[in-house]
Parts: sequence; C-alpha cells; structure tokens
Amino acid sequence: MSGYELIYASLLLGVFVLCAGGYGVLYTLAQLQNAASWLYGARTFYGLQWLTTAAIVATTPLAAGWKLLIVVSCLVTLRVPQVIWKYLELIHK
Amino acid sequence: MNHPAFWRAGAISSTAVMAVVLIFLTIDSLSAIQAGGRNVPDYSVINKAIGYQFDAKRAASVPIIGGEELLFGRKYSAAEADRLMDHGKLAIQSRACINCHTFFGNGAYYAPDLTKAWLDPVWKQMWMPMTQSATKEEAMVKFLMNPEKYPTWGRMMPNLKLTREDSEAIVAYLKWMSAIDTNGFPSGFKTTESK
Amino acid sequence: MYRSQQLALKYFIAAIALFGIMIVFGLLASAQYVHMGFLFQVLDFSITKTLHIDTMILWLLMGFMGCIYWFLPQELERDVEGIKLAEIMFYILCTAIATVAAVFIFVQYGGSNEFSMWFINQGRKYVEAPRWAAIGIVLVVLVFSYNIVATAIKAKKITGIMGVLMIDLVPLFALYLIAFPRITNMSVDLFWWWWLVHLWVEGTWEVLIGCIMALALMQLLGTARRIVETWLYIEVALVLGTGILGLGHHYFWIGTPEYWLAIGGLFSALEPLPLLGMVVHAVYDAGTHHMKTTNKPALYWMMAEAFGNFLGAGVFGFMMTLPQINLFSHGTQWTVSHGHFAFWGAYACGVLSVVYVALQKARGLEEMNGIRWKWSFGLLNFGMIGMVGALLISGIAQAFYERAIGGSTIQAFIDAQSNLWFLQGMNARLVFGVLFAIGYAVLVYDLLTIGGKHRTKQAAVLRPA
Repeated sequence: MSGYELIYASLLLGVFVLCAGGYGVLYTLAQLQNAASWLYGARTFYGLQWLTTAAIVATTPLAAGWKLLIVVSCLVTLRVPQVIWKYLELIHK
Repeated sequence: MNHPAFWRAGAISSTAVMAVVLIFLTIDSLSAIQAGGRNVPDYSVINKAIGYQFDAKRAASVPIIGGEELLFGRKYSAAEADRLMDHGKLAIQSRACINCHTFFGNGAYYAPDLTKAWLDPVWKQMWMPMTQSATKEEAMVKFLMNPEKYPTWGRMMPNLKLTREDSEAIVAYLKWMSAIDTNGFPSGFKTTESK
Repeated sequence: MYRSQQLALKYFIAAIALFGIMIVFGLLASAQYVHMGFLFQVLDFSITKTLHIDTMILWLLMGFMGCIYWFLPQELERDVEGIKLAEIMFYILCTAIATVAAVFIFVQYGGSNEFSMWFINQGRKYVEAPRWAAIGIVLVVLVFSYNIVATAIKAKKITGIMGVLMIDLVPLFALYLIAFPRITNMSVDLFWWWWLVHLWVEGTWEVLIGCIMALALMQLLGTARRIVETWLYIEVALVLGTGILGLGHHYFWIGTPEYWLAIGGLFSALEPLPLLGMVVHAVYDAGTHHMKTTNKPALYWMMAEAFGNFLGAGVFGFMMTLPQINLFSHGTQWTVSHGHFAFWGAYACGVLSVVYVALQKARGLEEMNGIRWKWSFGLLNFGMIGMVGALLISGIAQAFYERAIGGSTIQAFIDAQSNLWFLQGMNARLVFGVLFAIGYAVLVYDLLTIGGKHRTKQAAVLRPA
C-alpha cells in the first residue's frame, strides 16, 4: 500500500463509521420527535455510508475479505438503530 | 427477550465461548513464540548472520537466518546465550527503554522502534565512522554507553549509566529480536543486510 | 451520608488531584516534543511520560473505586463491611503513589538487577511501579473486593448489577498479577502484558464502568432497575463478545502467528457496533427526558461519554485497526491520538459524571447548574478534540513519511519527526493541551464551589438542631 493509498483508505474507514453514527443519532431523534426532516437526514447519512462503502470496495487496495466485512457491516448498520429503538421502547413499557 | 434473565444468559455464554477460544489460541501462540518456536528463534541465533527479505508468498518481509557470524568475536554456548539474553532484558527493563523507544511498535514513540534495529543501515553508514569502530556491535556498545557524545539530531538519548556488560547484552538482545518473524512489521523495512 | 460515601469523596478528591498531575506531566512530555533538549538529563521524556500514563491509570481506577464506594451502600441499603480497613488502605495507597512518584522523579532508574525491579522501576509500560508498590495495589484491590462481597453477604442481597460487579472483580484482580514476573523473551512478555492491558482496559474496566453507569442512571434519571440491568447484560455480552478476541489486534506484530491478523482485524472491526448502540441509547434516554434533570453537568458528562467513546474508540479505532493499515499506523502518534480520545470518552467522562452525581447528594443540592461547569465541559472537550485532531495529523504524517516512504529505519524515523506536518501537529497538540489544562482548572474550581450559597443556607438551617 502506498502512502497516499494508506491515508485515503484510512479516512474512508473513518467516514464509514461516522456515517453510521450520524445515521444512528438522526434516526433516534426522528423517532423521538416524530419528525420527517430528521428521518431525511438519517437516510442521507445511511446513503453516504453506502457511497463510502462503494468507494472502499472499488478504489482501495484492502484485501477482499475486509471489503466483504465492510459491505456486511454496512448492511447490518441499517437495522441497528431500528432494532435498538424498538427494543428500548419494549423494555421501557 | 425483554426479560433480564435472557440477556444474562447471553452475556455469560458469549463471554465463556470467547474465553475458551482465547485459551486455545493462547496455547498455540505460546508454543509459536517460545525461544526456538515457529516464529521466534532460539537465543543462540546471536551466533548466526541475520538477514531480512521480502517473501512474495507471505506478502511480507521475513527474517533469514544464515551461517555463522559471531557477535563480539565470541561464540556463545546455549547456556551463555540464555544468560546474556536475561541480562539484556533486565538492562532494558531497568532503564525503561520502552518509555522512549518501541519494541514491535509497543512503547512510547519518542525514539525509534527497535524491532529491527540490529539490521538498520544507520550503524554502518553513520555510527561506525562516528565512533571509529571496526564492527557494528562495537559501534552500538559505544553509543549505548555514552549516547550524549554521539548526537545525531536535536532529540538525544540520555546517558543511562549502562556498563560495558549491560550494553553488550542489549546489543545481543537486539540481534536476537531482529530474527523474530513479525508478520512484516515494520512495513517495508529497508535494510542493507538482505542476503 | 454513609461512611463509605465519605470515603468515596476522599477517593474523588485524590482522583481529581491525580488528574491534574497527569495533565502537568502530559504538558511537560508534549513540550519535550516541541523544544528539543527540554529537561534533558534532568527529567527525561521517559519519566514525564511514565508519570503521565501511570497517573492516568490511577486517577481512573481511584475514580472507579470512589464511584463504587459511593453507590454500594445505597444499592445494598447498609454501610460497607470492613470500612475501617478500606479507609486505612486509602491512605496506604496515597502514600505508595507519592513514594513511587518521588522515586521516579529523583531516582529514575537503577542498575541491571532485581533490586531495580523491586524498588525502583520495572520498566514495563503502564506497570512501571516497582514490585513493592504492585503488592500494595494487589492489597488495595483485595480489600476493595472484600468490602463489596462481604457487604453483599451481610445484606443478604445480590442485585443484578452487584452480581456482574462481583464476577468482574475476579479478572480485575487476577489479570493484575501479570505485573510481577520478569520474562526474558520479549514476545512472550508482551503477549501476557497485553492480557493485562487489553483485558483490563477493554474488558474488566468496560464492565466496571457499565455497572457504575447503570447505578448512576437510576439515580440521575430515575430509570427503572429492570431496564438498566437488562441493558447492562446486553452491554457485557457485546463488549466481551467482541472485546475478548479483539485482544488479537495487539497480536499482529509481536511475533505471534499470522492467524491473529484475521481474528484481531475481524473482532476489532465489530467493536464499533456496541458503541453505536450506546450512542442510540444515550440519545433515547436524553430525548425521552428532554435533557431535563436536576443535575445538568452529570447528564452532559454522561452524554460526552457515549459520544466520546463512539468517536474515540469507534471512529478513530476503525481508521487504524485493519492489519493492512495498522502495519503503517501502529507505534506512531496515530496510536497516541486514538488512545487519548478513547480513554477520555470511555472512562474519564464517566467518572466526572458520577463525581457530579455524588456532589449533588453530598451537598444536599436540589439542582446542580451554573456557568462554570459549562466552561470546564467546553474547554476540556474542545481541548481534547483539538489534541487528538493534532495528533492524528502528526500520526498520519509519521506513518506516511517514516513507514510508507521512508522504509521504517532509524533515519526514516528522524526524517518523519522533523517533517513540518508532524511538527505543526505537535505544536498544535501543546496549544490544545494548555486549553485542556485551563478547562481542568475551571473544573476544580467548579467542583469546590458548586452550590456554594445553597450549601451555606442548608448548613445554617441544620446548625440550630
């Protein structure tokens, strides 16, 4: 891996997790306030996460196994805030 | 699912499963990293030439152990090598080398990594002429005993009152360490000793 | 107030004092990066750095112990068994810490012999304390464990949180024993040393702070016990389920077999998932309570904990954890950046939160608020984000110039350390470090004075009786 590839891949991985965080926070806020605008924001973050995933898969020299892990993580992330939200609602009732 | 007991069972079982896996991996890893194991050479490797070469199959650089190349012109028996390594490690710990340097990248990042220090071209290029030494190990000993006399840049190594015996043991320790298979760390290490 | 809670306040005072000492030595160490020759042969980097990280471990540990001594009698509705012994141990611990610090500063290191290991410096990162002091720490942990277990037995009551806590004490004690042996083989030495460092910090400490946060949530937001206990179990399952084998990301390059690259990479890549869960939970809790509480600083520090943990451990960790990247980033300032942020988010913020919870009760205040905590909260977090951002730039520059381009030699190290990107990062780190220190000063002032007027009023009401 060259120096530039290293920095590029690492920053993409950081953005990947940040997008997941942004999605999780905005999704939760959307549910709390029942507001569609937050939900649009959440979807935007999740969309950005897929863009990041695509960039990681297509343009970084990471091994195939790690790329697969990133794709699976991105898929799983979609459900994480939803499942946690439902579960929190369930145990708080 | 909304009962604590469900998750208590989950916590206990996931921890237990992972702990058992870790124990099995630990048993195998310890056998690989004993001196003389799969990845770590016996201490008597200090009597041999050590090189470092890129292995295309592993996609990483690996140590190459060659023929006899004596250290300080002496051939150490297995017992002597053991004692020397023990002394070297004691010297390294008592001076807290790891709180400026790193070993295998673990430590303090203020001074250079020592994983492959034995193979570093700088000894031949700079320190041998500077200390007027005929061999690499002699240059290393002189530097270790009086580092403040041989400054190479603004950030200097303090004098840690290492004796000749301490310094020789540390050099031997570094030679042994350079022969450990570290999965290619540090990356793309450029040594002149790649025979 | 229970006697154990008075002891807790002492622990908090000691912890906050050590937090300050940690900052002083951190500033000295970072100045040594910027001004070459600063304190050379007087107080060398190895000493300032040792005192910086050892006080970090100790203030957090003493903070945790303070938290437990605070909540334990409330949880079990009786004072703590063996409290007299615990009080004695507190003073012994403080004396031992002061003695070890004095030895580090004035003696610094000894000869290559066992005497140095027993009485001066063991020279192993984080566990430099000489063996006599390590025995002291073992005794303190033993008494601490005795307090908890004996009180639970006397109270004939074991709650879910107490159960988790008591089981956690076993590895907390057992793993620390790795601080004693001197192992010749560096690979084997570091193998076990990571058991101590990783399984302590990312295992037993995570569980400990989980228990503390569960207890704090019940008091701060009045969350039901069933909910916090369920959540604690989930957290333990996720944190230990990913964290135990996450140990593997320390076994990439120390001579251990190649399979650790896959295991360590996979499990540490899973670690952000529980952290994301915690962020969602924190937003949920804060949202359902509309950020309304009688103790604003405690709530804000708790939120900072969830977000800081996610950013520091999750985002910064994920950037550098895959082996292909870690080969370059490992052992550079990049690691330092991640380390600072993760410790801050995962532990420091949590301890500060509980300190505010305890102070509210100790001073009998109906409401905790004011302007000072906001300044300290802002300065400390801004300072920390600035520091880790600056270190990230330095670290990436170091990985780039030393490893990717330079070929990882001693000369490459020197070249990278002299690089402008690296140096500017280090300068900026020092500046943000000073901001952080100012934030600390405001924090101390706030902790000393918060609720001052009301406190006097209450005291006046109480006095005639």
